Amino acid sequence: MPIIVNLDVMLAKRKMSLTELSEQVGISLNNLSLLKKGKVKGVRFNTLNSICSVLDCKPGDILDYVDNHE
Amino acid sequence: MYDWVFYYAEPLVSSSKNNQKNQRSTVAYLLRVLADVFFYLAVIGTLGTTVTLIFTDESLSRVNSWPVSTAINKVVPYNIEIATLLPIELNSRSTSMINRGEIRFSSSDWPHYSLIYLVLLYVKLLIVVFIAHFLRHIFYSVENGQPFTVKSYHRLKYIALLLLLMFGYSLTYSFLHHWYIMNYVGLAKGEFVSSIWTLIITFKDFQLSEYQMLLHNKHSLVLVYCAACVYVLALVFREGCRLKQDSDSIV
Repeated sequence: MPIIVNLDVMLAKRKMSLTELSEQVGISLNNLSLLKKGKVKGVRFNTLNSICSVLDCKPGDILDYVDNHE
Repeated sequence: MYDWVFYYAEPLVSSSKNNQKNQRSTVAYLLRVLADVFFYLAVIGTLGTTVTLIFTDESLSRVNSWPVSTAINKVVPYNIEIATLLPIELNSRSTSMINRGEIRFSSSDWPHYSLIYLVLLYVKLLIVVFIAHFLRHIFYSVENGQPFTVKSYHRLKYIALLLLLMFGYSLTYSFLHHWYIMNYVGLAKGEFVSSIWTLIITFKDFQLSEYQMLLHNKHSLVLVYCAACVYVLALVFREGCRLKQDSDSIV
């Protein structure tokens, strides 16, 4: 899938663990772990909004697009 | 004993206490209890039939009846002389268009009658038991708030197949009786006419003479329609299952 989730990069930049993010965002650790690994089919705008507000970033910092053909 | 009581009473108590009506629908609960009762009655009926057949010598009736029709004849009502081992009783219920009634005949000459009767009986009972079994599990999943599962789809599909099997059973039942009556029950004057391949008898298709007796069927297309409806429902459940899986994979 050409959409890459850079959540682990942002967490490292903010020096925050996934558990802390889970507690602050209000999403289960299991779901956040799946999102970090890119094993989900979609992300709700609400979830993206919460993550961006906690990590103080933009959606483009978390999600990236890489063309497989290049 | 107490476990059994709490199994049925606990959902009602907990739903009133914890206000979990959204999770456990009362209607689904009642339907599940009904399906449970239906299932246990079917099992008891199957076991009871087995015990009766084992311990009773004359459990299999040797006198059968079958619905028939004859043509209108106001002067001589039926005009058919019967020559069978047992006298045929023709009880007319409707004389407006045709003479309808039932013939009673002996099945003592029927080869392997007991075996055929037993096989057909158990096929019918097992179909009822399995349909009740699948229904109670589906109602249980609805009660738990998770109806859209792959198992529910498979159960509904099996119910549709069992309904088709029930139609096949009733078709076979009709076919065997038509075959026996036409070959072993003799009429001194007149003949039997089979309507085995006619699913809906309109009587315009059957121009009965005054010496003909039309044998009715005991199968109908209703079971096929029901099977089709249940299969469509199964497909809806499969789509619901797929949508639920998609929804679960979105965070």
